[in-house]
Formats: sequence, structure tokens, C-alpha cells
Amino acid sequence: MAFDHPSLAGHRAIMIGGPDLGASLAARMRRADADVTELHWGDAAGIDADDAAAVGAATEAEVKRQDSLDVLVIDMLPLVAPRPLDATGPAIVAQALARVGGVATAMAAAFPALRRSTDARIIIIGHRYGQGVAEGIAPYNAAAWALVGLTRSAALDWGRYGIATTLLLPGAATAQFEAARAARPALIDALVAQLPLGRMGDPFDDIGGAVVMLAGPAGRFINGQTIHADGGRHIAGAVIDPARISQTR
Amino acid sequence: MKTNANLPPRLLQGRVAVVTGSTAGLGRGISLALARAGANVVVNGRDPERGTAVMADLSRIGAAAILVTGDVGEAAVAPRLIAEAVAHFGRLDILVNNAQARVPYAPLENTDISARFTTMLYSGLYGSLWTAQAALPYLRASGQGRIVNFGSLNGVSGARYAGPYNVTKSAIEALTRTMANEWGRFGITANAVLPSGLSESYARFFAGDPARGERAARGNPMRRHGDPERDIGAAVVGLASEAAAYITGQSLFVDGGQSVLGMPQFHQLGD
Repeated sequence: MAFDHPSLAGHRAIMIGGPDLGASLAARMRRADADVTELHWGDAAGIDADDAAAVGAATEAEVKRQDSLDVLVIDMLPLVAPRPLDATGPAIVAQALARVGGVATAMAAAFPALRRSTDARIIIIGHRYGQGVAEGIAPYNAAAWALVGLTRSAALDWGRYGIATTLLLPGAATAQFEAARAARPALIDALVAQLPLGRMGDPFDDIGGAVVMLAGPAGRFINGQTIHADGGRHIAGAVIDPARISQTR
Repeated sequence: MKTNANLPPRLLQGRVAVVTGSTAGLGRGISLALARAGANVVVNGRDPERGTAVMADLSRIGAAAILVTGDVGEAAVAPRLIAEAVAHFGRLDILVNNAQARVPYAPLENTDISARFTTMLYSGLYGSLWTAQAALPYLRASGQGRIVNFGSLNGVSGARYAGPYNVTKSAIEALTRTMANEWGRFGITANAVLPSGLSESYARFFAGDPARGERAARGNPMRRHGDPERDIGAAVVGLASEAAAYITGQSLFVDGGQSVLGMPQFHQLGD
């Protein structure tokens, strides 16, 4: 067991990610010397994240192109426009849950290769609304919670093959967050000051770091768990929520 | 572009770690893992003979280590432990509160149970608090201070006949969250590991009935017991490393997913 820098040498990974975090996570894994392939969604050249079958097919094609796979990282949750539940039709819920379907089909496509690895991980990027919830975004909350069930199911079904599956809930200073900070700096700074660590997570160092930790020797026996890389936000109580402030009438 | 150029060769190169209750079992495994990651290790436990044996194991892998014997459930021990660690290595970065006394299984209606609560709370809860209080100035000065405490699925599930242990372990989780909320401003992270590893006491639990041990391993989602060094120790190394700088207040099961299933009520009186 090596605890050397770089810690992921010899690990082959696929990172399915959106515009907010994906590139940072892949870059941090590369810094640990993992061999990372990125499958993008959210831009014209990327895969259609709303089409679960297409996500599965893209993953399957990439797995076939490689001869081995050790780590699958999937960041699929969509951005949704806030609206109350009474104005949320079934199509909007179905669209959000289709992203969970995409995670599941990607996992299934990667499974045969992960099973052949001696040190396999699935790291699903979720959201803290899969632990608590926020007002006005029921489809997102439902999708985030669904990922908890998916993570635990993979842990039970595939743990016997040495595949450890975890759900990582990040608290990151993404582009979306920085836009919110630019619009309301005093409010957002007050929010950040309430976090136990008093700062937002850096997508590369902090969230990418957590991915590297889970993908490395530390994550071998961590299975079915929800991990918060959030500076302690999940234990900090009612931290001001900018989404809520913007919706309060 | 950030590169690997300035990284030390090992994840915890040059850091100093105190591991309580590390003369056997999980604590021994954690010490070995930290040492393999490049940390200097302060071994602690009540039994000098077993401590010496762990020191020999550490020496064989080329680790710098010292042994400080004593029971962290006694108020005077924690300040001495931390003082000797800092006197020898000049700093302290990582505190692992693994020590925990054991008492025989007993039902809650047992008239002696309160005394057993006291024994367990002093060893586990107060021991974790006192070492952390003594370590705080040094963890602040470290700039990358890490506290790793130990909870248990037993506490979460309320395992029968283990009341004093369950209560102590859940109290340690609450203590951990409080540490995270109070000391995060110093850049210190505090997390609790809830392990399932083949510790010495766990091995003893199965010794009289190896088939039961095999059944327990098969019942785990990963179909095996956790290894003190390669699984539990590795997770502690991960939490202590730079990669986990933004993880704090977490109760982290390192149990192969056993907590997803829940824990069978397999404690028998007389075990």
C-alpha cells in the first residue's frame, strides 16, 4: 500500500461532468497522476445529459476504448429554475430524475470493467439537498435524494466485487457561486463566514482533493457512504441560503 | 498550472501524529499506516510491553516514533502525552483519539451499569476531550491541524448489552461536531471514523466461534472484515492528508458498507 505522492499513479479513471466542477475534478485527479478521460455535458460538443441511454452509450464506448478502468466519477445533477411544487409539472420532475437514470446507466456500463479492477471506486457527485432540502426546487431535491439510494444500492450489489461506491456532496466556489457572490457580496460573505472553516471549497484543491482521497487507498473500505466536502456546512445549522433569500416574498 | 514538482514524496512527510490506544489492534494499524505515509508517530497505551512491540514494528519500517505509556482516561495523562510528543518532535499536526476501555456486556438493568458508563466515558469521551485540549495550541500552530476521533455503528444502532460503549461512542461523535464548529476557525478539521475492522477485541469476540466471524465477514457488503492498517489506517491517513482539508464534522463509516445494512444484534451476555 503506497501513501506516496502522486497517489493515483496507475489508476485509470472516467470523469463524467458538467460545466461547473468536472474539469477541476479531472485536473486534480491528473495531478495525482491518474489517467483520466473526461466525458462532458452542458456544452454543444458534449453528451446529452438529459438522455440516460445516451449517457450510458457514451460511457460504454469509452470503457470499450480502454482496456481497464479503476475509478468512475459522475457529476450529473442539473441546474433547475426555482418554482413552487404546485407549479411543478411531472415533465420537470421526470427531466431531473432522468439525470439519475443517466448516473445509473453510466454505472452499469462501467461495471464490467470496474469488476476487473482490483481497486475500484465509483464516486457520485451529489448535492447537499440530498441531505437537507431547499424550498422551491422539488425536482432537484428529489434527484439529489435519489442519488443516495443509488449509491447505497451499488454499495450492496457491487461491494462483493471490491467496488466501493460513495456519494460526495461538495460545497464549492463554482462559477455559479461566484456569480451569486458578485450579485450580493455582503450576503454571500456573511454566509461563508458562518461555515466552520470560514471559506468556500476550492473546486480543484478541496473538492478534487476529496475525490482523490476517496479514489486512493483511503477509500478502499468506504462504501455506501455520503461524504461532505463542505467545510462543515452540514453540521453548521441554518446557514443563510441565497436561494431562499431570493425567493422570499 | 499546478504541478507535482513541489510535493513531498509521501502524503504526510514530516507531520507528527499522536495515536492514543495504539499498542494493539486498530490503533496499531493506524500508527503503521501513518508511519508508512511519512508521519512521525507517538504511540500511546497502558501496557509498556505491547507498546515496545509496536515500536519495534515501526522501527522495522523505518519510522521515527516514541512511546508514551499511560491511560488517557486519567486527567493527568493527556497533557503529559502531548508535552512529550512536542518536546521530542517539535510540533503536532494530527491527533487520533482511538483509545477506548472495554467492559463486559451487560443489560441496562444491571445494577453496576453506571460504574461501567463512568469507566467508558472517562476513557473514550474525556480522554478524547483532554488530549484535544492539550493539543489545541499545537494544532493551531500547525496550520493543517487534524483531529480524528472514533465512533461506532454500535452507538448508532444501539447494540444490545453494550450501553456504556454505545453511549460513549455517540457522545464522541457529538464532541467531534462541536470541535469542528468551534475550531474550524483555526483551520483545524475534526472528523469521526466509525470503523469495522478486525481489531484485537473484535478478533477475541470471534475467537471462540470462528464460524461466527466468517459469517460476519460474509454479511458485510464487501464480503470481508476491515483490516486495521490497510482499511482503517488508510482512511485515517486520507483524512489527515491535504486532500481532506475541506472535510470536517463528518461521521465517516469505514466499514465496507455495513452501516447501510444495519448491524445484526449478535451480542450475547457472557461474550
